Amino acid sequence: VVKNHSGVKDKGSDIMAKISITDMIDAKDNGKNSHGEQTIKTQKVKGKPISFDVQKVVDCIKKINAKQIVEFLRNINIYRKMRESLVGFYLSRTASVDKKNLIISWQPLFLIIIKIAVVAFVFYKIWELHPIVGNWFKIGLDFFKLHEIYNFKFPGKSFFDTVASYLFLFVLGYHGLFFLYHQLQDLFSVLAVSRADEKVFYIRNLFIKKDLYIFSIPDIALVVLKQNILYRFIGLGTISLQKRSGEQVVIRSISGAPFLLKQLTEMKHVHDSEGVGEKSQT
Amino acid sequence: VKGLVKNHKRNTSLERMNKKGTLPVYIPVLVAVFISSFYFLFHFHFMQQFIDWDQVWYANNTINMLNGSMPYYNPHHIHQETTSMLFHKFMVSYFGEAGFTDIAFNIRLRALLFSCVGILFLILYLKDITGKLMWGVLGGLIVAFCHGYLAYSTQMDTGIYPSAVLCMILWLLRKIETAKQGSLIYSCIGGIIIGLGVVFHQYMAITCVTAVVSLAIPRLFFFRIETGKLFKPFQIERKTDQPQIDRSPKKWYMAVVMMAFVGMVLIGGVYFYTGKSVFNLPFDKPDRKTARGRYSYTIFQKWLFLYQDEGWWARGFTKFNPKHSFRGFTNAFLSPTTPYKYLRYGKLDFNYHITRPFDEKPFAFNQVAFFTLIPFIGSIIIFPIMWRRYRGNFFFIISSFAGLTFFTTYWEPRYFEFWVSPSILSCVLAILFLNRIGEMLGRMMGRAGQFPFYAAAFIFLFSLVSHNTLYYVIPYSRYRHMEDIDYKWKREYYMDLFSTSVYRYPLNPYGRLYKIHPIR
Repeated sequence: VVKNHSGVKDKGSDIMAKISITDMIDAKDNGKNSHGEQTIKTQKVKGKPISFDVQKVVDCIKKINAKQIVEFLRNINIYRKMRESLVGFYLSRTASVDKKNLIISWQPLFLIIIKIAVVAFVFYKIWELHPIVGNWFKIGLDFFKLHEIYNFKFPGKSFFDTVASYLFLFVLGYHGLFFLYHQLQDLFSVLAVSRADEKVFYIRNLFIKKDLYIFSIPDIALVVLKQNILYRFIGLGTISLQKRSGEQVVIRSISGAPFLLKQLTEMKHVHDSEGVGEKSQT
Repeated sequence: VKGLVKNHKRNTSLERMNKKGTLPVYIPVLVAVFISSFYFLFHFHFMQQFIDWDQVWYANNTINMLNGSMPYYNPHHIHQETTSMLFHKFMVSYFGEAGFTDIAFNIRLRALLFSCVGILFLILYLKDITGKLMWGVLGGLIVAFCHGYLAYSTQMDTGIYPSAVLCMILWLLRKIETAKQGSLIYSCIGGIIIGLGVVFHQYMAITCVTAVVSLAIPRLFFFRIETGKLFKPFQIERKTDQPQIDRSPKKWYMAVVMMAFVGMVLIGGVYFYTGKSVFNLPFDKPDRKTARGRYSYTIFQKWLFLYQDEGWWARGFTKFNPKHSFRGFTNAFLSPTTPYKYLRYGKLDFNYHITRPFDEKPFAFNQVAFFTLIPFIGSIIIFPIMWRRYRGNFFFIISSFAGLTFFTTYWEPRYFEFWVSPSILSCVLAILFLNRIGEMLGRMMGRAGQFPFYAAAFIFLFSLVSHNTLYYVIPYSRYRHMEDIDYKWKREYYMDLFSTSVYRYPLNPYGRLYKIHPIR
């Protein structure tokens, strides 16, 4: 049992000490440090002894909470930092938005990679079936009995397999390119909410073409959050904004969707309670 | 407000026209390719062995050119012999080892490829304009199994090329009219295609002019002019995604001018190259010393319009007989039941019997009568509705039909060669009419509104297929049929064109397959 400097038992330090003791050999000679605080000096079976201040660790752990962890992770994520600053810069230049008030979100990279991997695997498995269609082609040609009528050299099974493979390649390639185009667009597109301006921004970007959509929050009549059980675990969601004019804006699979929805509804609440909403409704 | 919007919605045909289908874009293309491939294999199996004067003439011109004589250009279908020669050379160099060395067979194959392209574009066009793939399939098959199209698909003649190009022009005009953007690019392609049409046959000049005019009609004429609009202080208009041709008049006029210009440059280039550079024909008076080739006795202008005033053709008005035109038009749909195609060997009486529509003998003929007369009369009755629904295309179809009918009656009404294009246009008109009626019925019945008309078209298709297979496809593929050959010609001019080398059993290719003789 370890006591702190005030002699009060501490639950956290208790646990730490327990963990330490299992690994430690000798704690007799180093009972106190130069400040008179109780410390435990550790020593491994072999090598130099390592010492640390348990209380410092405990205090540090006490201070750490979920917000700090999130903040820390956000700070070390260069991808996010850079992207957020770029979006902030772009919006401040184009729509005069204050960067600090922005809440930015997008479709996560891992989701896009998983989607592409799954689709590529499924497409490959479908493409492997092309000899069946090649066989159908051969049966189709045999039906006309051309080899019995003409003196020509008629193509064999391998020719029809090639034709079928190119046909499959055409159909799958058409869908594949369409899919890939949208994945790339998802990868570079961003949703941003500005509390101060009461606006939602959507930047659809594929480098060659960059479109900025601005939706005013008072114009939005209905906000829908759609999540499945998997999305709930990883915090993704689809947000659907229905404007008063009947137009619907759907932003699929963005990270932190519940948090964004919370922000949107809070803004909407504030706006409506000010009476502006009713005015615009009329 | 709701009422106004609803009313407006009902009135705008544009909205309905621009409605996209739920199918992926390539599905109609795949279906069209599949049907064209089927058509190709069908003809490959039942390859006709019919030769007549024209086929012998054109094939021998090609053979002479292959043997080193001077290039030969028939002014009314300037491409025929030269491109036949080029195609034959291509087949020999790339597929010669596989056995494609017979010139008559290769020329037939070229016609077949063109006919398949025509069917492909026709299916795409009908799908595009009606919005229903079923109409595309039915329309494509109906045209494919009309006797005219069937016969010219594998002849060493020129009839199929303008017919196939006509289908391409239909498709392209629709594309230009509905393109959201890039109508200029489409119009450039359109110019090339209408130019090729005239190169394939001179009578396509009528179609080219009507194609350009159909685009040049002010777009205002295709919408209902609401006089009430002038008195209404407030009206809500639905925003529709308009095609470029409606949205931007500047680009639309440019597109029309571009199409006409490209077409004229191509046609002019081809005729001046052949008439001046190759034949060196003078403009003022004939000069045998400077002019070259078979037409050195005449001048450029007379060579250009050689067949139009020659005397043997173009007697349709001086010796006018409506029965001749009816015979030609009917034969474009149904094969004569006698084994002779030319009028001078056949009869002029018709098998129509409208009062007994379901009798076995006149059944197919009656179907043709119903399928052509009802849409013609119906289109006149609901003319404004058809006009607003199909816009420039409708104008193109009716004016081209009228122009080509007039021309064919004047030039060669008794034989069905020039009736192939009018028969295609009348089939298209019939399908557009039935589709429009189905859409009107669809307000009550939804998609089921089209069903009775699909069934009617299917019955017509069935009668065409069964009649033409029985009286044309089978006998003309299993017998060596020869008609209208000049008795002065040497046998080697035409007997060598019977493609003996390509068949495994030359004397009777189908004897081992079927072991029975067809009805003759």
